[in-house]
Amino acid sequence: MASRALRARLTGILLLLPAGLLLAVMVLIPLAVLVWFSFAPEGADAPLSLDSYARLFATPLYFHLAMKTMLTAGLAALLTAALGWAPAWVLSRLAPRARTATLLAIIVPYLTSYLLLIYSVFVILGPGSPVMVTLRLLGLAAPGASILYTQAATVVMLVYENLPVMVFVLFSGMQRIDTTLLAAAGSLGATRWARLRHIILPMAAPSLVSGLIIVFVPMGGAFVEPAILGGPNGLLLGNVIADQMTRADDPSFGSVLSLLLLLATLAIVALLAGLRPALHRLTSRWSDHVAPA
Amino acid sequence: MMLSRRSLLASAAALTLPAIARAQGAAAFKGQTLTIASWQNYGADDPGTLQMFEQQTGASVKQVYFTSEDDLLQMLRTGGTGKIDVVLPNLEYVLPAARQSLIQPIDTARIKSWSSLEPRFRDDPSIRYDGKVYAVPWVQGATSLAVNPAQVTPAPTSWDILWDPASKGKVGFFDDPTTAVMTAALYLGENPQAPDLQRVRKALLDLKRNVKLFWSSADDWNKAFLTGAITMGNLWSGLAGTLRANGHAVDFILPKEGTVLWGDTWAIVRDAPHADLAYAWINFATSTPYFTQWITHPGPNQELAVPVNTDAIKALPEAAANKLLAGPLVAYRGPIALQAGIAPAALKKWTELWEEVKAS
Repeated sequence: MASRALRARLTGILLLLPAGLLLAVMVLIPLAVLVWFSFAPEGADAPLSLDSYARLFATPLYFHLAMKTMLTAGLAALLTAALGWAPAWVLSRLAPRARTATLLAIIVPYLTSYLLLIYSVFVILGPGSPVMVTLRLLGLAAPGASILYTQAATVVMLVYENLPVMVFVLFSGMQRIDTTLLAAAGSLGATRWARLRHIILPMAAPSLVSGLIIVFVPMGGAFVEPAILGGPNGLLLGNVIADQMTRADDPSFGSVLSLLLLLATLAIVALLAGLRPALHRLTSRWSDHVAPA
Repeated sequence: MMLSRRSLLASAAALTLPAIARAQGAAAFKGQTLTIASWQNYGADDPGTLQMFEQQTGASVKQVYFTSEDDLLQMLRTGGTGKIDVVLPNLEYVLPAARQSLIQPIDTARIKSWSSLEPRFRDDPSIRYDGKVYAVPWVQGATSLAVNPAQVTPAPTSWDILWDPASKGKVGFFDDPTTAVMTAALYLGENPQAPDLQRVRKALLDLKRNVKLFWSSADDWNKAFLTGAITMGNLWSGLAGTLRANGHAVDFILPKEGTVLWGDTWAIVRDAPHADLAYAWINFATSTPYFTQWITHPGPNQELAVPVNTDAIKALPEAAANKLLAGPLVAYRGPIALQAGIAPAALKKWTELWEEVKAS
């Protein structure tokens, strides 16, 4: 009995080993190097120092930038969820064959190089483009105006790029919601809104939170999109990190900023993960409240 | 009759002599392979001129590409010395390379075009270290004021235009610390090699209010300028010339306060395995026949620049010279901010300043 338990535990450890090794090599070691770099502003041979951290704390600039980066990524993630919700739901209600075809259609932009996507958005949003002309005819934009080279263009791009991912994640959660459940609720007099609130939302909440986390993390580290579309005031923390690592040739300060980005992202992810039980409590409280005694 | 036959023979001999000399030159380097480190599509790998060089010397050429100046230094530090013969550092990087003894001193008596090189490059301290010359200036360009003449009238003569409140949202500015600090210094009337950084920072923050785009590639600039998103900014002379040659309206102005000038140079690597062949290459690549061939019949995707050799510029056909904006650049006698000779510590401060301006 004991030996079987021991063997089971051993098997478990052995099964975890490859993934564990990969994690150590690909995540922990680079992270350790990053931390080491952050204390080595004069290069690997010089004594360690706190100079790069001193530079970070000497000005509120980089903390403001981190805040702006998190807000931009957060807004883009929420917009992605809002836009992805309805397509994911429709997809989850389709017959299998139609579903496969639609999934394929959704996956196409995701398989396209993001640089091509960026330049296509460039054309779509440029002055004189169909979108801007339509907005002008509707009296919503001045002639020659465009949101190119603004923060808004970056947000549009991030949403566009990450929408397929969000739809997939939401879809995978929603497809488990049984249509008969909704029919039953309907037959008991639940309105559309009540069904959304008490059945769909609680059941899709885990995938909603996962989706938000999955799209938020790359959005927080984005630097190509803001560099091309964001204009002079649209730079995010990722741009400054990329500059430090390449042109400024200051990997130490780049590492300090990377750690700042990592901490800020982890804080938001923790917040989002905390959202799940909160969302659950909220919906179940509604259910308690609404449920007849 | 005899006489004339003899003279015929003599002239035939005179005709063949250079050919023999050339054949001997060819034999001198036969079987050798010159290793060149430079940018891709930038002169050293131009097929037409390479063929000329290989015919003249009998040697073959191996190309190594770097993607940034730091990459070049790194390449030399990590095993490039002793393998690579000749390299193409920017003027800014000659001193760092010489200081780290990655390149070797050059005997200027062996450089045939030396006396024809523009003095503002040939006599500059940035190619000298410890009293010795370490690089031969090759090509040059300006990063100066460019405007769309249809939308910016009258044509400006001063950097002021970029700071003018009326230019809000119309400016494209090159995303590069050295150019940014030097341009602001010229605008302020400061010494571009050692400006008051507090004033420069304030000026660049003011400028940022007018900036629509910090551009970093020709593509960035073209997209914004040709769609009318920006109407002015600072631009590479080479790109301005190309745009004009392609029929686009661009005014390229060398402002009265001065302009930012850059140069690329040839240098011989320390312990170069084929130092004599490297001299032959530098002599070839700075010669008038080389520039005429490269600039008038460039291979596909070659990026051109203005020679530092004044004889080569004079020999260029007018259309080719105009495309490079060579005339205005060579004729320009106003103040110059040469992108070179900034001490590493100062350069680090400039870079920090520029990063902070962009992040603000």
